[in-house]
Amino acid sequence: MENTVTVTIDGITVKVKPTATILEAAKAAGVRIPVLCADDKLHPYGSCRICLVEIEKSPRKFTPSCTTPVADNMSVKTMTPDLFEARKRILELLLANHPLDCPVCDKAGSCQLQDLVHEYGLGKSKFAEEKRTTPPNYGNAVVERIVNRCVFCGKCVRVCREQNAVGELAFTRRGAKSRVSTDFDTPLDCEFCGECVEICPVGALTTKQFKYKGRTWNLDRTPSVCNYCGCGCPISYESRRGRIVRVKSAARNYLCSKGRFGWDAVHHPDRLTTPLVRINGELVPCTWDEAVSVVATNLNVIKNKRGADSIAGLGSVRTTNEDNYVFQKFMRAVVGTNNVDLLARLKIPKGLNAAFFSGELGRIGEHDAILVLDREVGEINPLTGIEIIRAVNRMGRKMVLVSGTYNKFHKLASVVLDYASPEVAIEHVLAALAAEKGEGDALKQAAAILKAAGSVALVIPPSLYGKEYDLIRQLSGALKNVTYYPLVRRSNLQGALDMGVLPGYYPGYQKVSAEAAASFAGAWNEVLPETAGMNAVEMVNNIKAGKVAALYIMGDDPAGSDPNLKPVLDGLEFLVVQDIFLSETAKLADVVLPAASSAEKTGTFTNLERRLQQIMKAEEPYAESRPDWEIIQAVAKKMGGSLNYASAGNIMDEIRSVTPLYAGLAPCAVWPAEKSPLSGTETDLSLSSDTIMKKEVINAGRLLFSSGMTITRSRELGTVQNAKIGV
Amino acid sequence: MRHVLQLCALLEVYFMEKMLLKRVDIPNSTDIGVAIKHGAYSVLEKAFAMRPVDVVNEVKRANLRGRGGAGFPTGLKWELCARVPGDLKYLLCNADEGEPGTFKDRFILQQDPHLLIEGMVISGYAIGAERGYIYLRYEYPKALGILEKAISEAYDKGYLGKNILGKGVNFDLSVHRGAGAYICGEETALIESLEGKRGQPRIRPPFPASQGAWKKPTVINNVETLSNVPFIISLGAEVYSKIGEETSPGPKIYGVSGMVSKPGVYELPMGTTLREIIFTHCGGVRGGKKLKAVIPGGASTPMLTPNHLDVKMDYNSLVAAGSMLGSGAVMVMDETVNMVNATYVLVRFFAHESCGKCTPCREGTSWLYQVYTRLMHGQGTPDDIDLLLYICDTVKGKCFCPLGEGAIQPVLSSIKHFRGDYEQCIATGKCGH
Repeated sequence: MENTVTVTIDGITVKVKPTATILEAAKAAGVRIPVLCADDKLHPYGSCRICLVEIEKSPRKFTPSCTTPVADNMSVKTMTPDLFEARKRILELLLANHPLDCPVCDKAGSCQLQDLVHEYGLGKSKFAEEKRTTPPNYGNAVVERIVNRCVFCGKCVRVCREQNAVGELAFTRRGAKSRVSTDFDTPLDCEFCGECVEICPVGALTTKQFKYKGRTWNLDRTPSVCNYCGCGCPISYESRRGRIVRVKSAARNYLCSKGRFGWDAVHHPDRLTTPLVRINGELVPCTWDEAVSVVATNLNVIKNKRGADSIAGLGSVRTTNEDNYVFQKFMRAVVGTNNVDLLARLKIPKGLNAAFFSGELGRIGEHDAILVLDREVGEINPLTGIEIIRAVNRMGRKMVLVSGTYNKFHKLASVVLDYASPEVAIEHVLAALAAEKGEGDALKQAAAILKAAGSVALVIPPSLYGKEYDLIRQLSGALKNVTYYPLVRRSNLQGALDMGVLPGYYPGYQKVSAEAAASFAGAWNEVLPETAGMNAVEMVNNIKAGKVAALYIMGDDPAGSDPNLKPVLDGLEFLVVQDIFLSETAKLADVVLPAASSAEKTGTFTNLERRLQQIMKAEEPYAESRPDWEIIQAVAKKMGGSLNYASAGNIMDEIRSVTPLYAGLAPCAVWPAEKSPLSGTETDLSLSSDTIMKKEVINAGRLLFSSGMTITRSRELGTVQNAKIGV
Repeated sequence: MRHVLQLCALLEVYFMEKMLLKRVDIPNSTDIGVAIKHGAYSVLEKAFAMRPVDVVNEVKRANLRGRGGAGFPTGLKWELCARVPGDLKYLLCNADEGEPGTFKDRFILQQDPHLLIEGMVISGYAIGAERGYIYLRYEYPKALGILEKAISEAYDKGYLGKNILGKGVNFDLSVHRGAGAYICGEETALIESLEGKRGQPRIRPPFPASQGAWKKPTVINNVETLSNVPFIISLGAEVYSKIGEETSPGPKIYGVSGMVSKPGVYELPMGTTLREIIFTHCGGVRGGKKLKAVIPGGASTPMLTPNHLDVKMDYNSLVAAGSMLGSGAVMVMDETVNMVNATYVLVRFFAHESCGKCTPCREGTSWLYQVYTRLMHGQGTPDDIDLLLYICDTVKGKCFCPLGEGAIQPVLSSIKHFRGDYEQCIATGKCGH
């Protein structure tokens, strides 16, 4: 039982922790105290002085509520005539040098200063001197800094340092001349997450992307989920007249640069507008009817001529659960083959969904120690990185970092193990744990921290091969209460796996067998193949061997990921590619079908925590593009199959009925690891291959801003990229 | 026998002209040999023979109050820090003497650095700190050289470093030079600056005594405060507390500047009256002019008038008189001074030195400065006096640290006592020199 103190706020008595501030106690009592510089995710700062309150029997007239801890039997008044006047005076001071350019300020309508001034009803100011002015700073990528509007709350400075561990912004100069700036006033050179813009209570920090795009009160808001990595951060699309103009963070209160600014790729002119069919070696636009007929006819011909198993399909780790479910059902029930797989399996951690189940990201801080095996965590899964920083900075957890080169996590780590590869590092840590001594102090310290920890969060690299896997298993045996946090690059890897885009498993990891086939055949009212199909590696080999004649790719780009696959794909008789851009693979296709982006359709993603999250349509599909499942359904119908869904919700209902994992899974809930049929087995869903995509095509370090086809088409992030390389 | 000894000590104190400044006039007083010959480091032996907790109690019983301005009981501060468990504690000497009119610490730093070092070694021993820093004002380059030389001499002689006097006491000391900000005289801003951060005050609690420099228990004392410590130990609390006022005993260094015949530093018992300081010790107002105003304790303390000459210069008496002892920096102004002009100079200082963290201080001081600038240019309006009072009321009681609060004191007190100067200034457009 934790001890509490009793505090009375405006006559309401609450019990709070003795370490709570008056502001927190007031929140608990349901009393609002106006604030500018305070924020739940930051340490108290106490600069704005708006949150003044009166404490009974205090020698001080006014006390700042955000920085003052409660005391037992403290009695606080949050609103008196004197306090009203005091806050009004503070606002008068803040406005004294404020430009009051609300008509052209992007923040107007959601500006805390504006709201407070409205609330406190300021009349004519006594300030009649010349206003202090500082020229605006337009010289940064993505962000505009209108210095005059600043209220010096320091939130941008603090969020950058405390939450992001970047520390790009700081106060420079002193007194009335102080301002938020960078080292030597140089342009921003940071992660460009835009958290500073998001947290700015006024319009001092705004984005170029949103400038003059709309007034906040005219925007429609669509809750959805970011599509750029496995974290799946909740977002809110803000649109004006049916066109997205801005993305803001929702529930988790954090977005990285990709999530916040990268959405504009969906407006890129490179988007596919119509279906394309190859005629005389050229891809030419055609109608949907024509394209669907060509696909259906060719697939039927190949199926009849060479058998269903000469057709293979690659699903997508970037489209919705519904799309993937329909895709695998189409391949199994309509085409009649289990040759369905995910290319991404070549690059996922071995042991995922069998030995390694990710813990909830928000709970990383509950572990006593965090062992980070991949220094690029902040680039691959930015939210995981933020949660690690939060665990260290706010909860005082110890972090052991394996890293060969310096990055922002170094200064947070209790111990840095200077190893380029996690493999050797784990070996040495294991030795240090066993021997209670290691070579060098760092290992000794790391072993001591890990040994003393009652629970350990283990951050696992996104690619994990045999030996590392064994070592990690061994390591977790040597530690107490290990929770894994595998890094996952793609937004719906988990969902696509769950949906059974696997040659050996039906949805929900139900192993392909005669019984399972019969059960699904019953549910789907189709005849199903009873033996496992080819996996992605086998597909490649069989294409080379001429055993696979047709390939249907939904939302993936093998040729773009590994140029060596181009000649392989050339060897196909028939290649269909569904994508939002004309990818390297699409350029080789016989038919290209334009798909709707995740902003343009409804469905669900399952993030790396196995959390089922709803995405919502914020815009009509671009040009003639269509949601993936609709396209597949059209092809299926043309081929004589029986797919007939009215909506994505319809598909989800079916998913729930055939998949115990998803039956009854509430929105935003995580499906429990132990429910997976693979849980605790040595099953390997990873297809680490020596031949295909062995090397990362994408250079490390560029990950945050340009990790794929979509993100490179973000105009905003393009400017960042240019700024970084000095174009 | 004990009583006789005490009596002897008492007599010695009564006849001794100076304690804190007793070595400053000796030629080469900064040289460790000369200093030792005249008693430097002679108290260490006695201090180390006591238990640390007894040293703390002795200082507590002596009722020594901080000489930096706030007058916080030093013994209590030490006790709070000494009680916090932990091996690593810091003792910081606040030598960021930035208050306009204040130059008393400089005298000790430049003339008798070994007194300060001795005081710090004893203080560190008392609170359990083995690491000390002297946070030295950037604008004291001469003191920097002297202190560094003195510290290296003290290391050589074994008064600093490991195992001092063979008693197993460790104390390392170095000088950290400030970067020219007045705000860093505020103890938490000093810590921030020492840690290499922007000089801005920190949130309290946690207080430095529990979480100070690098989040370790830390005591911060003024130069003069620390220099008092050897005398408390050598004389004993009872004898020491007989000096000066009962509520704030001990010797006090008053730095007198302005229009007096003999400006300078004067060590006098705490509680000496303004009249005695100005007229007996400093030879009265220069040129036989009439006294107009006195700032008793540095720029941030409210001004006093000739009516207050019999106020005792100690913490409580000055508060009762509507001012503060501050650092004991007495600034004397005669009848030729226009108080609008004088206040303008002070307000300009505070506007320049406000760190910019909190709204009232940042905006309030710069607003005040703008209004005073207008007054000085002969562009004042009759409403301006009320405006100044309005701004002061806006700032009052809302600031993060005492800087903003101090900044409005000269304005309030000069309007209170010398409203005529303002009215004349606004009416004629002429505001002094």
